[in-house]
Amino acid sequence: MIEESLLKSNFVGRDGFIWWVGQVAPEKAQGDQVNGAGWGNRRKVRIMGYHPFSTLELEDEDLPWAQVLLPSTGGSGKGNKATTISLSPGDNVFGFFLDGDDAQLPVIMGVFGNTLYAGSDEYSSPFVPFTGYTSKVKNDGAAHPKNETNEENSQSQKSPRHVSPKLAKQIGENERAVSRMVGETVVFGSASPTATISKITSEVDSMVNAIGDLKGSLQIPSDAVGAVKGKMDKLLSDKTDKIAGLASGLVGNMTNGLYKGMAPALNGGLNALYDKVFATTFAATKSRGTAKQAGAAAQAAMMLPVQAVQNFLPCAVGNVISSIGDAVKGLLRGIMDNVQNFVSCIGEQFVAGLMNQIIGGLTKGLGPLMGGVSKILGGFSLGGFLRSKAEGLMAITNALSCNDTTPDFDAPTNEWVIGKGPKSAVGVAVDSILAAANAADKLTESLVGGIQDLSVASGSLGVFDFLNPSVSVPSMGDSLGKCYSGPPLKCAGLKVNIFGSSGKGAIGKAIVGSIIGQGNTAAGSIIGVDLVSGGSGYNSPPFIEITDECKKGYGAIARAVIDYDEDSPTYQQVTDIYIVSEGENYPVPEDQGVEPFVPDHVIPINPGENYDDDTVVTDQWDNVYPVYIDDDGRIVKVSVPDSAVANISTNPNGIDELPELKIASRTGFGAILKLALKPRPSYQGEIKQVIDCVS
Amino acid sequence: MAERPASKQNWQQREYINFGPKFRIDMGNPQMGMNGTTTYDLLAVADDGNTSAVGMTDAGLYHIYNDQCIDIIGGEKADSGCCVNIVGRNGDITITAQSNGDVKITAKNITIDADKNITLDAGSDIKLKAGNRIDLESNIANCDALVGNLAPRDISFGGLVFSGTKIGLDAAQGLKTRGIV
Repeated sequence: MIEESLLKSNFVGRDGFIWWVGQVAPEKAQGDQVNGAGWGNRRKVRIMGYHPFSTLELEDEDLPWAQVLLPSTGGSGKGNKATTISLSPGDNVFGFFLDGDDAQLPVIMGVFGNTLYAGSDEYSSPFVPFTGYTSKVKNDGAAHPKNETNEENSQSQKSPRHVSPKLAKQIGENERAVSRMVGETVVFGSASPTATISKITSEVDSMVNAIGDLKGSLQIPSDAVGAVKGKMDKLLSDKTDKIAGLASGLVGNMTNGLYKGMAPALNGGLNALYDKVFATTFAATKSRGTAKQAGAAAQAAMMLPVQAVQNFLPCAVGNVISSIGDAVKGLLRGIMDNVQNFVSCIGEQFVAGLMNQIIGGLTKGLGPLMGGVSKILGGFSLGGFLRSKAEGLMAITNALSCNDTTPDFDAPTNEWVIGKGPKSAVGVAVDSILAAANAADKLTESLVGGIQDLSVASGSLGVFDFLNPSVSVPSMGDSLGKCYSGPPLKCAGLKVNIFGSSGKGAIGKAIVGSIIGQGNTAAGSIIGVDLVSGGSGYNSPPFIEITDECKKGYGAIARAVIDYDEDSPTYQQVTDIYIVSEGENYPVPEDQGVEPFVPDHVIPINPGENYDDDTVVTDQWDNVYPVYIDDDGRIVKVSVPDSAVANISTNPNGIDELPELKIASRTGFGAILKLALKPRPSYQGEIKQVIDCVS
Repeated sequence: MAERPASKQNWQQREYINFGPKFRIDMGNPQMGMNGTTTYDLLAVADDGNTSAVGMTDAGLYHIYNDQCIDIIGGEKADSGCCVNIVGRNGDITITAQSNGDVKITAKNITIDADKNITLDAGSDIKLKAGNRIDLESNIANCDALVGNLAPRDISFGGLVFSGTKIGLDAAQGLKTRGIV
């Protein structure tokens, strides 16, 4: 037996190692092996030099099965340890023959990575590269870009990004958003008096964005246009319902305020009525008792008309909301048709339009009932009252007595951008809303009739800019104000919003570095924030939001540091703002000075622990920073060496990329240090004379 | 669009495992997102295009996105105690039904425990209904309503309108009967 095996030569390990390179055959040739009824891990393989280039000479189905050798980390299946093989048709594989020269028992040992230069067409003939997608393994590229390469480059297997779908499209055709929700603004629940208006404007903003995406989809074959329009109509309907629902609160507040305002007027009217009837009756009868009875009877006669007015109250909100639905839809359709870019004045005008609708709804609902109480109304006008008191009636302002609940439980910021973080609220521009509402009312010239006639069909809604088809044209003629809502005309504005804490007054200027392009197209990353003012009153670090007018930049994340030391002169001030993520594509501010930026100081974000005297801190320009470590091994201070400023200052551009400090230590861990930048002080001239004031 | 130059993106750190077109793990992807670059992502897409993504960005935001519904179920084998625990160490916890949905909470007993204030703010109606009893307990309790049987006479609409008028007792009784004051 032993001798027999010794004589055997075509046996692996006894007669050389015959290796080969081949191609995994198409799906059809793999039969049930890939459809859940296979045996072992096998693939049909066409092997170069052994199998012909033509299927006429050898059908794919007649190729030999090659066993697939698994890596030791893959698991054989024993003990439930297993990993599926990841071979696709068209893969170029490498292996050996178990039976040596007989070449009937191939084994696949590995696979060559696919490159961009290899084709990904459908299968045509043996050894010609073809796609690994099959009838059962498909990718239309909608969620994850189609890609059949495995290379060490940035284009291989691109993943969806954490950006909005709109931004993904702008970045490149192979970019996808990780979720359609990313970039959407969420307005949190709040009892804040202005929350309803914020929610309404946020809904309009989100609709404009969604419509922008859908309108982009209209560049599709005509047979698909209907589906897109259907989506637009559904969006319009959903937003109408949502906004009409949100408007309930406004209607409720205005109704409540109206009745509370009307009651004293009616009361005064009743008293005046009594006086009048009393005087008339007394003059006629000379009887005080008769006159009293007549006056009281006159007042009592008003009970039913007053009751009719009162009975409208419980139904007012529902009646008004149901009556303004079409008008809200009309306003939204105007925005949908004309507005390309949501700007705050569009939101203000929309709320103004909504307010006019509510005023119109209330006056129309109550109008017929007011005839019954006209005798005691005096000069009270529903429309006039609502319009003059609109600010208070919408609960935009809310005077609180000491017993009222203070609204200090609102979130530091009430808006959140999905996938990004807290958003600074623009605030509710009450004056602008009221001005737009009143201006629109004047243009319609008639309160009840005019407002109620504000239907799209009548065309009178055109008083609002967003109903003007030219609102997105730079040279638009304005009716209520210059509320241009096309693409931004200038993109160089960059803002650092500091918000969401108790303090105020902190101001920072973003520093753009890693600049690509020139002139108007110059853009880069945020490499620092120059803190202009620390403000005051911050009892927790505020949020930092870096935005540009064109919404081009993305990904810059910064955080604030405040001073908690009560004995410090900068107590409760913002002392630093450091960059967590530099982002990209931010326009270069026009006011970014010509002076280059140089290191100012090191911000110890986290002192870490267990550092020793061997700790060395350097930047990417190899400058060494002196480190001060306390007895507990924490980094308590890091100084900027003169050499760092000097070395970098000699560079005409100063620091033009995000500075990074590297900590080398055998023992320490956890410290995080950031380098704050400042504009290099301007040159003060040559030293002419040194005066020694001591001696 | 001006992406950062490749030399300023850390591709050396990126690693991925793609299990086909439906699922992948991506780690250290330096492509910029709205909250910085990607620390890791578990990305999935179903046959009908529904996607889910779970992961974290380098600026520290952990996210769970899902196109369809999300189930979070705990406690199948727990006998008692807390089986689903949501804790925000600092900052707010917010729940928002964004589009057209409601927020519903159901339990044997429900406790809302605020260190300071509780506000219920509804655009339209609030209804409190108890099978047995409703107790209000406070140092101060006010009702500011224009109509209804809780509306105090002196601040109700009818009360305000007819305050100080000369309508007789019988007529006033009529007002009350009619629910005007």
